[in-house]
Amino acid sequence: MNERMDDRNDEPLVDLACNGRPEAFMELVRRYRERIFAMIYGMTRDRSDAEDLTQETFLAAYRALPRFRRTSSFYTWVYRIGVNTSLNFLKKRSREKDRADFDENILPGDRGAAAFPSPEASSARGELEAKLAEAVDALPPLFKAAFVLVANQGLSHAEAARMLGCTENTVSWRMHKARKLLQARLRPFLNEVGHEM
Amino acid sequence: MRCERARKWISDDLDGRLAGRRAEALARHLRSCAACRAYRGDLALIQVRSQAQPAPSLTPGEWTRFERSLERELGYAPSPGRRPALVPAVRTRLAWVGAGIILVGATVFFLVKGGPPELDPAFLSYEGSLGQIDREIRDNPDLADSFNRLVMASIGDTIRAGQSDLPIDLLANPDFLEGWAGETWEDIHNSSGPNAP
Repeated sequence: MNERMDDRNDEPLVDLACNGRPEAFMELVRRYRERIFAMIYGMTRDRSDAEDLTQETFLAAYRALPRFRRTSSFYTWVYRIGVNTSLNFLKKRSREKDRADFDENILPGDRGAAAFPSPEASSARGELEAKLAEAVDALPPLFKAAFVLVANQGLSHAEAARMLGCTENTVSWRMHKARKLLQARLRPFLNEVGHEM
Repeated sequence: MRCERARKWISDDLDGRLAGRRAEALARHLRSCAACRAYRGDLALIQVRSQAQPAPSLTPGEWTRFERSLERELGYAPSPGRRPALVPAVRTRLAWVGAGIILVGATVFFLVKGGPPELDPAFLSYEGSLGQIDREIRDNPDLADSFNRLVMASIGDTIRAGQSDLPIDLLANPDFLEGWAGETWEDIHNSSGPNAP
């Protein structure tokens, strides 16, 4: 008896997995693991954390399969679990490290400018990407989640709202505030790169 | 228009969410506000750089390790060749066949050891072996009970062997199978099939 799993659609695989066939679930894992990993990496900026959280995401999905109501695709459902798993992780990490680098009320050019050395002596464009990753990493978790989903992963506000369990307007405001914080923090580098371009 | 509102709309515009009158109002504002034009330039650069961040992934080896680890968490341990597990119905049927073979083999063995090999060729047929036993135990509850216990114990052993992901040795041993004629296999098949007496 040699049943092929890889030529089946998601739905029958979900049915099989619900009926105690983990090999069907593993096929679903193979289909979506890269995309889930990429999204989680965007949130955590750490390969090891991203790998662990990807595993945690799929494990949580497997355990929650009997409660999967099929109102969305399996991928959307798992993606949402991944977003929540990442957010929980970020909030926990944020509490543990007591990182308050970014405050919503920060004044543009104030702490942001002081946080970085002068860009004059560096290759500004190359450094911008590293600083951008650092700055995104320091965003408050909810702003970061919105920014990663929309700006990195290319989701629309509507899709991001579904993943985050909020309204499109909320996503829109979070994007605005995230960008404002990033711009304030990166302004010295943005000026440098802007002059080069 | 106030700059704060314009900057919120700039963010929406970057995400493709601004149209109509708002887009026109923003365009008017930008023509007259150098600060907001610079702000839009900064956000556009951040957007481009965010999308340019390379999507990370794990190596094939890391994904294999990921899968193994997840399978352990799910309590699923496929054999190295990814052979699917036997479904219970097939496993039970095989157990019956195995039990029949063991019974016939044991009887043959003791007959050979106990005296000259004067075997009736019909002995190896269903009528000559299992059928004979069936007739003998039909009217003898004690004997039937003993026989059932013997068979169930044998089935239990075979099932346990199947569950441990090891091949059922009896069937996997080519030397053992070589000794059986096609007719014998047919008898065994008939005695274990759905229409078996």
